Amino acid sequence: MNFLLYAIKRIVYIIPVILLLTVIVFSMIHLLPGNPVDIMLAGEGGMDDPQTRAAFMQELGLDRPLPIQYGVWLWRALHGNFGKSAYSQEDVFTLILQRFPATLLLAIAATVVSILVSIPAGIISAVKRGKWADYASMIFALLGISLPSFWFGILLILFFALWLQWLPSMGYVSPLQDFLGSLKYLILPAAALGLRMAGVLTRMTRSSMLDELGQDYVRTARSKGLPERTVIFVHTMKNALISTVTVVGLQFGAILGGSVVIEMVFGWPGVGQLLVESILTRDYLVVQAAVLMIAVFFVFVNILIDFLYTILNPRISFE
Amino acid sequence: MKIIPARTEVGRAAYWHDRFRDLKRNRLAFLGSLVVFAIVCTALLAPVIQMHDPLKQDIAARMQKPSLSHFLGTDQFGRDLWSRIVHGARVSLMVGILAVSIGVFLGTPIGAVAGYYRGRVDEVIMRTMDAFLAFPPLLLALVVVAILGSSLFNTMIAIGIVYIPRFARVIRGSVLVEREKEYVEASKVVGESNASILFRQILPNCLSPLIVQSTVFIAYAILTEAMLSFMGLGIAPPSPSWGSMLNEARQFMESAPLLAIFPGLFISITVLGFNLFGDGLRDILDPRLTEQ
Repeated sequence: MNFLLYAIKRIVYIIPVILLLTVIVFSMIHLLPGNPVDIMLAGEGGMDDPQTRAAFMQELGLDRPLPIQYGVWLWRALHGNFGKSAYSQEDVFTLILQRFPATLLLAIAATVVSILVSIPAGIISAVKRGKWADYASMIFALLGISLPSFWFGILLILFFALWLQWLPSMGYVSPLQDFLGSLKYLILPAAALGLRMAGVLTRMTRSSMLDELGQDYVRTARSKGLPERTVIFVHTMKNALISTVTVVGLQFGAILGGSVVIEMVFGWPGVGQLLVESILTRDYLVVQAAVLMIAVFFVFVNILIDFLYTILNPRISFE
Repeated sequence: MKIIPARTEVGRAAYWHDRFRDLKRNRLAFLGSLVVFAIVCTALLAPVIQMHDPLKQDIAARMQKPSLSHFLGTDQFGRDLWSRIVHGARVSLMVGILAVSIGVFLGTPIGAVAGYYRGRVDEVIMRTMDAFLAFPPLLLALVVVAILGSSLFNTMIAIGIVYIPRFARVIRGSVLVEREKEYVEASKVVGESNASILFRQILPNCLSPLIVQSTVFIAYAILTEAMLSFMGLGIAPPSPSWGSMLNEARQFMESAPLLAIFPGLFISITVLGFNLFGDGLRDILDPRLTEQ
């Protein structure tokens, strides 16, 4: 099977998963205690007006049987029509699209930070196995997976914003407006959000490097008299990083989820902050749309990582 | 090579005896188990080791630094921070253990049935589980809290639901391996029912991955509870939850940074303990290592 067929098969395979996702998200409103119309109108004060109620029910198709309601909702969702926010009266899809770039920027920056830290740490740890550098890397990795990201974020604010006053404690500047200015706001939240991924990747890189260093081809390369640097960076690293790529994909879900709390700590105006605000104000149409979009985005990131994995590893058969 | 006859009651007892001996030899796992033991003791003995009532406000004594009468100082309402933290350990452990129990009790039979029967049953179950796994964990917990509302009980349910598909996947994997073994074939030959083979023969042999994953997931569950409470969507104040204490402390970061440092430190130590313990257990109980 060639790559194209594999890609098509993989994309077809996620259709039922995405459909089930939409069923779960659609069911959300119907699982809430009480009538969905009352819940959705709660923020508008339109609950007492029977006309508003009837119009709203008709508009969302809530007066029809449940499977048809789902069909109507899905059709509208596919067209980016998630209704209007009960809180701000803005179009939900527009509201989320406005916030999405900030979340994406934070997630990518956190991923980059964690890769930049973890891959060298993992490699050094494996190469210097049993030495102090190995222990230091492993302690860092263990702390990375154990420290709560939001607490680490608070510590970063304390040290770098309040005590040293090197960086701003919160806020956001779009990189399209002021690139360097935006970096100042990005560093602390990206470091806080990337900490956990850095811990996981350091461990993963170390263990796959150790696996590779024990392989016959490494022994052959060394016995040929190749410099250790070439053995590590040219021969071993390339193979060891293949499994790290998969872990990046898996961890990206944790980054997206974690961004919700980090956005709150750093006043970062992303989808996560919008989601928490919407849950607190019971603005369920926004909650529904935000959750669905993040989950679908995560599914596609995983597919992308799968593709990257198959490209990086020629031994994978497209079955 | 070490052959472990873990198929019989005697074999299982000997197996677990050996693993306990390995745990005592593994230094990191032992350290982790000591931390976990200390946290469990703190939680159980909270009413004894508290210095004051964790809910009692004393405005005259607000924002005090650590002293002999207030071991870790006081918060913005004059409540004793140490007492709140030790009671917070109860909340964290309770949520962690009960949420993971929900995941184990519902995820285990789901994964076991999928792995044992395979075919269409497996497809339907695992695709449904995949849909739940497509949600980043914290996001799924947020969805459940959004539906049920925030409270201690709902937080446990929300986090428990996150772990159902994860346990189902772990157990399915183990059952897939076990179902091909000879003792299963033998049980079929003597006419044992499928339910009996699955739950009385196969599942007891899938305990190792279940224990390892449970330990690691308790750490994640504690972190998730802290995050939910920090966002105001978990355990509501004035109940002493480490996450909500951190959230309240944010307003006073400049004037009283210790208020934000201590609860986070306790979350970190607890999670670190469970992670070390889980890592050690994985080394000891990993079937691949045992077979080597």
